[in-house]
Parts: sequence; C-alpha cells; structure tokens
Amino acid sequence: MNSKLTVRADKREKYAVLYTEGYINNIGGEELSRQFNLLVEEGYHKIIFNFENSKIVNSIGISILIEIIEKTIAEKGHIYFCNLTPVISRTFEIMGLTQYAKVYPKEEDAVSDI
Amino acid sequence: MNWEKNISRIALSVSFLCIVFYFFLSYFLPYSLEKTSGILRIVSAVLFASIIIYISPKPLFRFKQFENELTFFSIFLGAFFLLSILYSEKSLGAIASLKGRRLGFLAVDISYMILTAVLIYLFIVYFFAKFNLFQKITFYFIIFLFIVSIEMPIVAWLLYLLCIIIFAKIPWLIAVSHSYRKILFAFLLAFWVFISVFHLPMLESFEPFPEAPRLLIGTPTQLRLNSIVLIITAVFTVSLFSSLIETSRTLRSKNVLIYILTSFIPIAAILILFVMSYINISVFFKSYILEDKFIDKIKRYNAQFLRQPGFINIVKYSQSNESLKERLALEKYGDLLRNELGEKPFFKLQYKKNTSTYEVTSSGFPQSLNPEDQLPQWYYTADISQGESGIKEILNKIFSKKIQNADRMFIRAGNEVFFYTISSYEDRDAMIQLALFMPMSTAVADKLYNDFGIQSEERDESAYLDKDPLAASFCIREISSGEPTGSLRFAFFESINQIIFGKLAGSDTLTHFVGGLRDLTFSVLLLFVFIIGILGFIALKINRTIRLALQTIILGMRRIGEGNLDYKIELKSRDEYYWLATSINDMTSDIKSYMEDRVEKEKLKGEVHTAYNIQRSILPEYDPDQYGLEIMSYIKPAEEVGGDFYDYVFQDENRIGLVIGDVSGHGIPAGLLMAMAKSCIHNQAQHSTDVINVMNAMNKMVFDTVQRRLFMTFLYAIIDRSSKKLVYSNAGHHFPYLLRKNGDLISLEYPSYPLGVRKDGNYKKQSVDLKKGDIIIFYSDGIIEQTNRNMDLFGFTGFEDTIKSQVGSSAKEMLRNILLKLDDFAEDTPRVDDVTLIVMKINK
Repeated sequence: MNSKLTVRADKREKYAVLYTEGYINNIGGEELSRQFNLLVEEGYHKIIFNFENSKIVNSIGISILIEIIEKTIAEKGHIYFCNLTPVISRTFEIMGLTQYAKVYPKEEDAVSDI
Repeated sequence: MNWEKNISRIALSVSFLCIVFYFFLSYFLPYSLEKTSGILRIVSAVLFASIIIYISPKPLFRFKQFENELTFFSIFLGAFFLLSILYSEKSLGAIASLKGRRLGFLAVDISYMILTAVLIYLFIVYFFAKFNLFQKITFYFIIFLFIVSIEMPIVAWLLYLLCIIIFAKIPWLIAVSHSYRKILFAFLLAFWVFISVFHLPMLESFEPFPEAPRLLIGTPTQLRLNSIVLIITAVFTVSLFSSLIETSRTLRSKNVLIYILTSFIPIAAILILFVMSYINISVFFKSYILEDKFIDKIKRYNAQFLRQPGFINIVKYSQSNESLKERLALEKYGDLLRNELGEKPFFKLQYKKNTSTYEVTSSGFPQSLNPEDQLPQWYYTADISQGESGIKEILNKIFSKKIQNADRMFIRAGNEVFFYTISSYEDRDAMIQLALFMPMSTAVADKLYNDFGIQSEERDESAYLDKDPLAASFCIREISSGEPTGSLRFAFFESINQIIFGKLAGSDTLTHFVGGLRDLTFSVLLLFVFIIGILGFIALKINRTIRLALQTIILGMRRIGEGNLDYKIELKSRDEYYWLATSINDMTSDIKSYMEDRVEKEKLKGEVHTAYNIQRSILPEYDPDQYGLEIMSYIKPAEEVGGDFYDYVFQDENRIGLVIGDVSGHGIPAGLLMAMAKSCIHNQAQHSTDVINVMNAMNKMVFDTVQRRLFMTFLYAIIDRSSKKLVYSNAGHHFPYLLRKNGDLISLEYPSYPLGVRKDGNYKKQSVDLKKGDIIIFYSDGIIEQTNRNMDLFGFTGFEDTIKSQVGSSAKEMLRNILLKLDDFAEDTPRVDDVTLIVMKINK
C-alpha cells in the first residue's frame, strides 16, 4: 500500500465522490481535508468518501475525519463513507464517526441513498 | 573497464606501435615498400599491434592490467629483435661482419640500444615490484641474449638508460595536475600524429643508402639521433600516460616551479639532441656527396691521366653503375698507381714496437695492402708535416685503437695528403700503410679548372675552414718529376652556416633529401618550441591554480575549523583541487548534518525519556487483588512511550474504577495529557465518582487543554461487587469485551466521539450485570492493528477468537495467552502502536 495518500475528486451533479488511495495519516488527512474544503467551497454538500484503496487510518487521520464531519454538520451537509475495511468500519463505529456519517458497503449504495 | 584504461590502452598501442612499426618496416620489409604511403604503413602497424593486443586467441596474451600490457610489449619486442639477430636478418648481417673487426659497437644500430633501454626502463617501472620470479628471469634472459648478440658497450647502455629515465620522469615533474597532464598528453599526441603522418616515411628514407653509416665522418652511433628523440618522446608519451593512470594520488608538496625548471633541462637536452642530430646527418650526407664529387674528380683527372696507361682501366672501372664498385675503384686506383708509379711517390711509416722507434721513408710501399678491403672510412686525419708530433698522433690513435685494422685515414704532410690503410694486426712491428698519392700537374689542374670548373672553389683557400678536421689537402705534382707544383684541398663544409642550415650546392636527390631532413628538424624544433611555450603557459597556470586553490582550501579549512560548518570552499577549476574542495565541503556538510542529527536525537531521546518517566509515573505500580477480582494488566509502548494509559480508581470497599485511554500522538504532549488526565480523574473522584461526571470533567479538560486534532479516547468503568454490576461510559475507546463463563462473548458497545472533540460530550452511562467467572477484557487499538509480514491485521476477529478460546482461564492465563498469540501472529514484525491489555476476572 502506498504510504502517500492521493485523493481524486469526482464531481457529479448533486454530489461529489472523493477517492482515496494510500495511508490516511496526518499528511494524507491534510490532503483529504483540502480536497473536501474545495468541494464545499464549490457548493457540494453531499460528499461520498470512497476508501476502497485505503486500508489504514491512524488516529490523526480519524481526527481529521472528525473535523470534516463536524464541518459538514455545521454546513448542514451530508457525508457518506463506503468501501471501508472491516477494521476501519469498526474503528469508525467505536469512535463515534458513524453517528454522524452513514457507512455503506459500496459506492452505489451510498449514491442510491442520496 | 573505465575510460582511462581504454585510453591508456590506445595510447600504449599508438606509442609502441610506432616503435614496432619503425623496426618492423626497417628490418623486415623490403626496401621497395618504402614507397608505400605513410598512412598505409601506420594502418598496417596499428593492425599489427591491435592483433597482438586484442585479437590474440591465447589467454596468455590477453592481459587485464595496464602494466601487463607493457610487460607483454617488452617481452615481445625483446624476442622480436633477438630473433632478428639470431636469424641473421639482411641488414643485421652487415653489423655482424663489422663486429668481427671490433667495430661492432660503432656499427650497432642505435635503435637496438634505445629498445634495450626502453626495456630496462619498463622493467624498472613495472617489473621490479610487481612480477614474479619467472617473469623477471624471462626478462633478464632476453636482455642478456640481446646484449650478447650485439656486443653493446656498457657505457652506451648507461648513457641511454640515463637519458630514458630522465625523460621518463618528465610527466611527474611538470604536471602535478591530472587535468593538465591530459592537456600535455594531447599535445604530445598531436606531435605523434604530426611526425607519423608527415615525417616518419622520410626517416625511413635512410634505408636507400645502406652504406651510409660506414661513410659517416664521426661515430655512426650519432646517425639516428632523430630516431632517438622520437623514441624517447615515445617513452615520454607512455610515461605521461602512465602518470595519467596513476592520477594525482598525493599532492606534491614542493614548489611547482622547481619541477617546471627541472623539466626544462631534459627539454633543452632534446633540443641539443636535435641540433646534433641534424649536424651529423648533414655531415654524413655532405661527405657522401663530396665523396661522390671526389670520385668524379678522379674520373675527370683520368681524362688527363689518359696518358698514363693504368688510368684507362680506372676510368672503365669507375664507370660501373654500381656505387659500391665505384668506390672500390678507388682501391684499384691505388693498386694501379702502385703498379704504374712504383714506390717513388709513396710514403712509408714504419714503427718498431719492441724498440719504440719509427721511421718515415718515401720509398716503401706496403705489400700487404689488401685490395679486397672495403671502402675507405675517413675517420681520422693527422698532419705529419709537423714532424714527430704528427707521427706520434698517428701512433697514439693506432695504439688507442681509434684507428683499427682496415681503417683508412688521411695523413697530411704539409700540402701533401696521403691516404693510408692500416693493413694488419698480425704485423705490429711493421704497421706501415701507405695508400695513395695523387699526382697532378699544374697543366692538369688548369685543365680541370678550365674544362670542368670544379676546382674554382677549391682553389680559393679562403673559402675553406683551415682547421676543419674534415678538410683534406692534396698536393699537386708533376707526374713525370714528382715535384709539387700546387696544392688542392677539399673540405666537407664551406662554412659553419652550411653545417647548420644544410645549404648545399646543386639540387640532386641527396641535397633534396638533406633539405627534407632540415625541414624535418626545424619543424620538430618548432613543434618543441611550441610545446615548451604551452608547457610554460601550463606551468604558470598550474602554479597559479595550485597556489590559489591551496590558499582557498586553507582559508576554508580555517573557517570550518573555527566552527563555521556552513562555509563552502568555492573553486572554479575542475581539477583535483576542485574535487578536494568538494570532498571537504561534503565532509563539512556531513559533519553538520551529523551534529544536527545528533543534537536532534539527543533532544528526542531526552524528550522520550521524559515522557516515558511521565507515563511510568501515571501507570499503576501494581494490579489490585481485592474486590473479589483477579486483575492482570500489560502495557508496552511502541516507541518507549506512547499514548496508552490506564489506572485504577479505588472508591470504597465494594467499588473499584478503571480508566483506560489512548492519546492521539506520542511524546511529551501525550505524556502531559496523560498526567493531566490522571490528575483530573482523581480530583473528580474526590467530589463525585459518578461515571458521567467523570466523563464530562475529562471532556472539558481535554477540550480546553489540547490543541487541534489532538484527542483522547477514554473509557471509565466501575465494578461494584455488591451489586455485581459494571457501570461504564466510553469516549471513542475500543469496546471492552465481556466473556461469560459459558463462553458467550459480548462487546460492550457504546459509540461516541473521543474526548475533546466537542465541548459538550453528552456521554451516557452504560451498565451490565456480572457473574462469577465472567472475564472483562479492556484493550487498546495496538492489539487490533498489529500486522504480520503479509501486512494482515490481527483484527477484531483474531482478537475475539483468541478470547473465546480462553474460556475458563484465569485472568493471568488469558493475558499471557493473548499476548503469546499476538506475538505468534506478529512474528518479527515490529509493533506500530502501544499495546495495552487489562483482564479482570470475577472470582467472587
């Protein structure tokens, strides 16, 4: 797995999808946050995070995701997580992220729920 | 193979092929080949050398080392010439014949000396230290046979060896810089190209005159000084390349100018050698021409001598087309004179060895004059007209063996010149050799002058060099009476300018050839002057470059020594000094990085140590064993200190609290947050042990205290043995497990944000009933996220399976088995996060 995170934004009509690839740590989390903020500035309020190619999230990465969630709540937007590994999904659940962001097995599931 | 070695191979090939090709063409190829173009010769020689070096299929000839190639060439050339001698190659045959008369050292080809000297030089440089006994013996054997074969005088050996060694040292003397040595070599290479393409074929033209060495006035060893210079330059070139390969391993500490000045001495020697070479060559060819003219004179005299019957034969004889025959005609002429004129005109010198007396008569003619003797060799002249001193001079030359058997000499008595031949060593008591006397009447002389004009110059005595040893005088006598009526002298040179500039009358082939040699000499001289100029420029530049570079480096070293590790030594040049400065800069940079790194590590080490102490002080010293519980705990930081912590809160006789948390981050901030958490927990517990109150107090403390993106997972649980309940709340920490006695595994779930995310945590209280034999497992994410070599996670599944397999175990056994299982899974994969594990078993 790449130690460097690359983030690609796929902007669609009503929502956008952020595809991550690599380790979501402090550096990768910053990039993720930057891309998220760009989408928010562009008016996207529904953003799907596809973590299919990210298998590890460290504590800083989680804290950044919490930041993102908090900002989304403040902006009255919605966040959707999909393609999480079991461990990440469980970690998100333990740390309370899933209280405010829905988790879906596949991206299509998230899209259909939007 | 690096490029330097390739270049050295090429250079060696070029240098040595010049030698090889020179001798190869000189001694093996027929003379007709000299009309072949020089380029073709060079190409053939290159192919010849290339085949030897590269194409030979025998591994013996494929050397890997540069030195070994020199060795190969040495042995090869030594064997080459040895075989030439042993097989009596054509041109060597003449040398062999001369050897029998103890003139061998004079007739030895100078090229052989040079070759031998080169071999010895190569031996000194390359053989002595590096090669085994067999190789050395082989080399010595070749040299030995070589010396024996050619009877080379040891003095000549030493002279030429000395010369070679001096020249061989030049590159080390004048070019301490590898870069400049390369420049110098480029000039030398240009020199070789120049010589090879334009002049080497001309030097080969010595060969059209195979008799030339024996006609030289002076020593034949001076004949090929041009060749010496060329070969020495070849050695110089090879040596230079050797030094290029060496590179400047050590910088010279002496003043460069000393080396430069020293280097000019051998260069001056080169110039002297060239001048000498040119003069000797000029002398040789001038004498050659003059001898031709002399014979012509005889022929012309014969026109007057026709009255003498014997001269008719001379004319016929000397009109032969073969030059050798023409010269032999001179001998015959002597015989005819003797026969025709009797003993009257001849001169006789008789020396009694046992009595040390001599007698001069004019009536005896040596009966032992050997008409089979070869050409006259005009090595010496003496004037016996001065009486005893002149005669002693002759005798001294005879006894010092400067005049040897079969030599000819002119003996001058006033205006009379006698041409002598030393006949035999067997008759030492009567070593009397009277050769020729050339009678000529005034009328004949006038006739020659009037009819042929050839004596107009000779008659002008002011045009001659009176004391020139190369001049000869003739007495003109009336044939009938024998009375002298006049004198005739001829000199080899009219003036010193003629010697130096080689100006010759006429424009025949020889003159043209000598002119070519003159051009060669001057062009080479000019080239050397050019090289000297370049060397001078290089010398100044080297001196300035070295001085400035050293000053810059010394200054830089001082700055660096004073502690300025940011200082960079800047040099514009790209030579060894540049690389030295670069190395120093790199070294300084490395030292700086090392010191910074060391400081950073020390700082980090101190920080880690401090945090470790903090963490250790926070963690409980022992696990409680009351409350009807068996409690076992384990914590192992991933990097000495991590973010995990736990603690026990003793509340009353029935209730014990447990806190477990994980601070995101490591080091002192995490440690301080832990310390603050412990303080906060215990402070709060004094006021209220309610789980929610503790959670809210902790959340407020973390929210108010920690920086952005730093949070703490936190779980607070109270076990009440009186009510058999576990009351807990969780802030993002991994859910504890409850393993029932019957094997049911329950995850005590309560999802929530970690502490410090929101000001109002809004945490809820949870509770679960406990039974005897139940086991509660608290842990940190370090267990779940442990990976193995395949980067597989231990995960929740692995952890849960392990716990399930421990039904009925004690807390101690479960803790140990979980850790063993975790170690087995991880193998030698390092821990990436702290591992905390607390196992509580309800015993009562």
